[in-house]
Amino acid sequence: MVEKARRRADETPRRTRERRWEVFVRESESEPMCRVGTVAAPSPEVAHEEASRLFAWYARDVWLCPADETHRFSTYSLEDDGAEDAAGTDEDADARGTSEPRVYEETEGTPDGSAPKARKDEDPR
Amino acid sequence: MISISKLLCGLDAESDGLRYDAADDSAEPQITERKQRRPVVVWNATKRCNLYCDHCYAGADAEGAPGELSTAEAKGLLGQLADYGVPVVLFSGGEPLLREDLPELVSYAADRGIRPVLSTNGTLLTREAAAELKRAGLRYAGVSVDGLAERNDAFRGRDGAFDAAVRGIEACLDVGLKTGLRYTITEANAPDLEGVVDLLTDVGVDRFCFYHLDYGGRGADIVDVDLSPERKREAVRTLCDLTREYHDRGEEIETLLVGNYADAGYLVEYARRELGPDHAERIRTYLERNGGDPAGERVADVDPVGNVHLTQFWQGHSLGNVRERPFAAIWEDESDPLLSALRDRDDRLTGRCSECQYRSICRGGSRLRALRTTGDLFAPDPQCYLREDEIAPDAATEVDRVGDAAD
Repeated sequence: MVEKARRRADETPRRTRERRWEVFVRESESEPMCRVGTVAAPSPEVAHEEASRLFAWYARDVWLCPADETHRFSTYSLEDDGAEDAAGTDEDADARGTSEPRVYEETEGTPDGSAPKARKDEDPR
Repeated sequence: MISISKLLCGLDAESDGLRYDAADDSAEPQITERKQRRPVVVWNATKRCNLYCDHCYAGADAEGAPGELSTAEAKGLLGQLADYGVPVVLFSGGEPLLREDLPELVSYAADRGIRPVLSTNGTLLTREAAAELKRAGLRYAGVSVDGLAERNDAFRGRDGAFDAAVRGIEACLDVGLKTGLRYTITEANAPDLEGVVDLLTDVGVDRFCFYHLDYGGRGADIVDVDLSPERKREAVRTLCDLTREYHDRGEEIETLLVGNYADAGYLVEYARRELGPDHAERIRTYLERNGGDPAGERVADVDPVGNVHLTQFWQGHSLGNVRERPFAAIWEDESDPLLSALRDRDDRLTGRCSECQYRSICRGGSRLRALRTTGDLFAPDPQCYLREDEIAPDAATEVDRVGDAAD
């Protein structure tokens, strides 16, 4: 008898504004359909147009499913990830060690390490 | 992002010309002989915003999105990013200060070894809020100011937004938080560029980020007010000149160009003309390490409900959702044809990009702008402003060689 995994339903919406559509594509007729994320669009026609722009160079077939109509069941939970993180372990700390130095891109979010300048109206001392 | 101040004003001062981010307070030297291996992640912490800006890529408004990540889920996400080795998380929005748990999440990120930084409209940044965030571990706040008072307030949909943002910047500086000003240029506010630069020195900000408009969210609705490529070139040249001037005066404001990698080629051309061929060549080498347009590689975005995007501007498409599988699994999954194509885009670029001598430092610029304006993912960025003789000098005709006087 096959034991059922303890999956939970994830009913949270996937949209922030427009409806989202799950996109499935197939490169050739002998291959299975593969999910390749979602696009936001107000209608299936617009969703198809958007998905075609993104995947027509690659895909023979494009299928679209309303993300809101997709019932998702999984043993994975992002919230549990947070709870595990909060507990923390020495192994986690080791894994985050120096095996791979973080190389910072110079982004807006990446200060150059210098201290903030003193305000003009402040005594720099 | 491309640092004008470093490339034009500071490169010679570097001991080896390689150090990209000295990160003096880091235990590990940050040197860019190696390409960045993990993306900077923008997290749109909420869709709610107290303003309504014309160009908002997130389409933010007064209502949050149903099902925004809870505090526990946000910690799950931040923990995943830390384990993956993400160097920086940019808390963005909407307006992230509308999330009451923001200090808690900033602290959580900092404790996990990620550098937490903030993108905000600044209007809610009281001195107390800034102090609390700094205590929580926030390392930087970028405040959006899109022109002087009249134009900024029209753009942001609220009278007094400019004054409130400037007060927010001052609050950050007062508590010793490194602070920058972000300005997205359009036809509507281009005349304010020099006034904004004056504001930088008047207020004493640490960093100036000059953004080109990208065509995502409400930004896609105002493409008609984007500057023409010629006007962009003129604006970037003006900013290069101004940056050199204020650095000469001792105002060492870090000045960055964002959102249009034609800037990379232009900076090499500018340096060749203004600073000599050796300096230009060093800039080019430096920018090759930088790697050009970062979409799908060095920048990622997670929206308020957990969708993962190629950049923060490209929210119409999502690679997957962190409620379904961990961020790293989504980001590493190159069975996704779009993700793998973007990471291997050099030979797919068409038109003038395919012949361009600056392809290795630009990588075609914004694929989103190309997609929105042509429908072709690999077409040239419509906002590339390099001239034909700069793109392919050997193929240029006399007519193409309009010379530096054209600037």
